[in-house]
Amino acid sequence: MKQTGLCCLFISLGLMLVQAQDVFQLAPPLLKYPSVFFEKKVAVELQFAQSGTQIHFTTNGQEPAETDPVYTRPIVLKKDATTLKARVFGKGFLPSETVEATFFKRGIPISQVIHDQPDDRYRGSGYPTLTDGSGGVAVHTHPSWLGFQQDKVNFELRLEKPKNIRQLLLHVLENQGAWIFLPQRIDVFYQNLETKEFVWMATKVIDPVKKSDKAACQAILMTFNGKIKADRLLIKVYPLAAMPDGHPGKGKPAWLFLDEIILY
Amino acid sequence: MRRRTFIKNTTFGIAGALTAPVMMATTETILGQNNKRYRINTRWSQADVARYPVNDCHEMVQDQKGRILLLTNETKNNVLIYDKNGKLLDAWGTEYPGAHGLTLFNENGTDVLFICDNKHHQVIKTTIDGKVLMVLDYPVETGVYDGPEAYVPTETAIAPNGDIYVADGYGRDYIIQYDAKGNYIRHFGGRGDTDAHLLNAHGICVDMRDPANPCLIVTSRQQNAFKRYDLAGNYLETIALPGAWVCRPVIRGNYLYAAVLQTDSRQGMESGFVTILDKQNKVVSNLAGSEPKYIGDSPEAMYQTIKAFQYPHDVCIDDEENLYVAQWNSGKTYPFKLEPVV
Repeated sequence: MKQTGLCCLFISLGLMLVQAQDVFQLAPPLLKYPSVFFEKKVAVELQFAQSGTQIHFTTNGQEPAETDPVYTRPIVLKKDATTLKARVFGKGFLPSETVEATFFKRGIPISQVIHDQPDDRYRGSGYPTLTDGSGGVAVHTHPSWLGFQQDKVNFELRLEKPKNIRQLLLHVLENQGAWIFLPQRIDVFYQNLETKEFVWMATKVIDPVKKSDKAACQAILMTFNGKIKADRLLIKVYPLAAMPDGHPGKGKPAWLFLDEIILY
Repeated sequence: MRRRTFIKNTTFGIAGALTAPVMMATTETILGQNNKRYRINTRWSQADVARYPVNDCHEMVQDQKGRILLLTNETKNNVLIYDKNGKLLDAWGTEYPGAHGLTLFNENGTDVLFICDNKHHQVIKTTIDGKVLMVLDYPVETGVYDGPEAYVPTETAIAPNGDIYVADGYGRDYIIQYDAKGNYIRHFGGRGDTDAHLLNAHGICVDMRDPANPCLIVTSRQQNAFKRYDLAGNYLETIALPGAWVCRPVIRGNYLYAAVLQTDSRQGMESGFVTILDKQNKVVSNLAGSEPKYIGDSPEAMYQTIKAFQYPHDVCIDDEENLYVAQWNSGKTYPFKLEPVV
C-alpha cells in the first residue's frame, strides 16, 4: 500500500495520501442512566473509552458540534421532556452519529394496570413493568419491555382516587429491523365517575409509517381536550396490522413494545 | 522490514516539504491498546472479485506452508488460499452452501481441515486441497436430536490425541466429542440455567497454554462469555466478557484472540471489534473497541469505538503475529490484515 502511495506521489500528492489511508468514523458514545423516567432529577453518564476523542453534547435539541460543551462529568437533568444528544469527535476520524435519549417526569401515580398477556418471550421484569418508572433502553430483549403481537392490546389504568387528566404518554420502542413498529391507532376512554360507563376521550392515528433504520424509544403523547376527572382509563392500542412495502415482513403484523405508561 | 522503513521515511520527507497539513490530516489509525496495537490494511486481498467472489467470510486459518485459508459460504469457491501479502494462490470448494467453521489440524505432519456446514448439518474432514476424508452427520448417539435439522454445527476443535469436539452453536448448543475416527464419546453443555450450560455455543478451541492442564474454551455468545471445560466436558469456569458477542477463541502464544461480532447494546448495527486476552484471560486490548477496564475481577462492559469493522466473525494470527479479520454480512468484503505496531 505504501509503495503504491510512493509511485503516485509525484502525480497527485495530496489526493493520493488521502486515498492511501482509511478514514474511519467513530462509533457513538454510550448513554448510561437509571431510567428515562424521573421524579425530580436524573443524572446521565456518557462513556467513550477511546484515547484522542471527546464527547460533545447538547440539551437544546440541536445536533452536537465541536463548539458544544465537552462531557466531563454526569449531566443532571431536571426539566420534563429534555432530550440529551451526544456525539464523539476525534482528530483523524469522522465524527460519530448522534445518540440521544429523552427524559420524562413520572406524572400522576397509577396504582394498577390490567392488560392483555404479552408474548411469552417479552413479559417484562415481573414487576408492574408499565408503571415501575424504569425503562428507556432501546434493546427489545431488555426486561423493561412488554412485547405484544396481536390485533389489539387493552390496558386498563386504575388510580387510587379520581384525578384531572390532561395528557397520556405511551413510551414505546421502534426497531423496524426487528419487526417492532409504532402502533397504527390508539383509542382512549375514561370511566364516567357517576354512570361508570367508559366514554371516549381521544384517538390517535399514526399513518403513514415513517421508515427508520434505528432502534429508538418513542414517546407517543396524547393531549385531552376539556377537563376530565377519572380514576379509570381504558386504552386500546392497535399494533400495525401490515408492515409496509419494502420491508422483509411486508403485509405481516408488526410487534408492539411498551415499557411505561404515564399520565399528566 | 528495511524496505518499509525506507519508503516510510521518503514519504515523510517529501510530504513534509510540500504539504505538511495534508500529511497531518492523514495520521495513521492505530487500533488497540497496551502491547497489542495494530495498523489496519483494508485492501489486503488482491483477489479478483469477478472471478473469486465471497459472501460471508466466516473463518480463516494458516497452514504449515504459511498460506492463509479463508472459508466463505460462496459456493463458487468455498475456500480461498492466499499468501500473507494477499495474493490469491488457489481456490476450491463448491459443495458447502453453509460453510461456517474452519479448523486446521496437523495430523502426523499432514494438514487436514474440518469444515462445519450448517446448511448440510454436517462436519466434513478434508485434505488441505479439499478431498473429503470423513463426514460426521448429526449425532444420533446423543439421543437429543430427532433428525439433522435441529443440529447446526458451527465449529470444531481437535485435541492433540485427535479427538474431535463439535460445537452445535446454531442448534441445541451441545458440544459433541468424538474420537479421531469419528466414534461418539460424549456430549455436554446444551441450554439451561446453570453456569455449565451454553447459549449460542458458536466456537470452541483447545487451550494448551498451560501444558499440564489442557482445557476447552467454548463460546457462549449470547451470554457474552467464554466457558472453560476440561477435555472430558466438566465445567471449570466462566470468562465474562460483558458487551462482547465473542466468536471463536483463537490461541497463539500466550494470548487468546477473538472476533466480536457486535456490541451487545448496539445489536444489528455493525458494532463489532476484536478482543485480545492474556494468559490469565484478562482483556488487554480491544481493536476498534473500548479501552479495557477492570473493576476487581470483572471487566467493564466493552463496546465498539471505531467503525473499522462491521461484523467481525473470526481472526487468524499468522507466524509473524499479523492478524487477519474475516467478516460476516459485511457487504461481501474480503478479510482485512492488521500488522502489529512495535
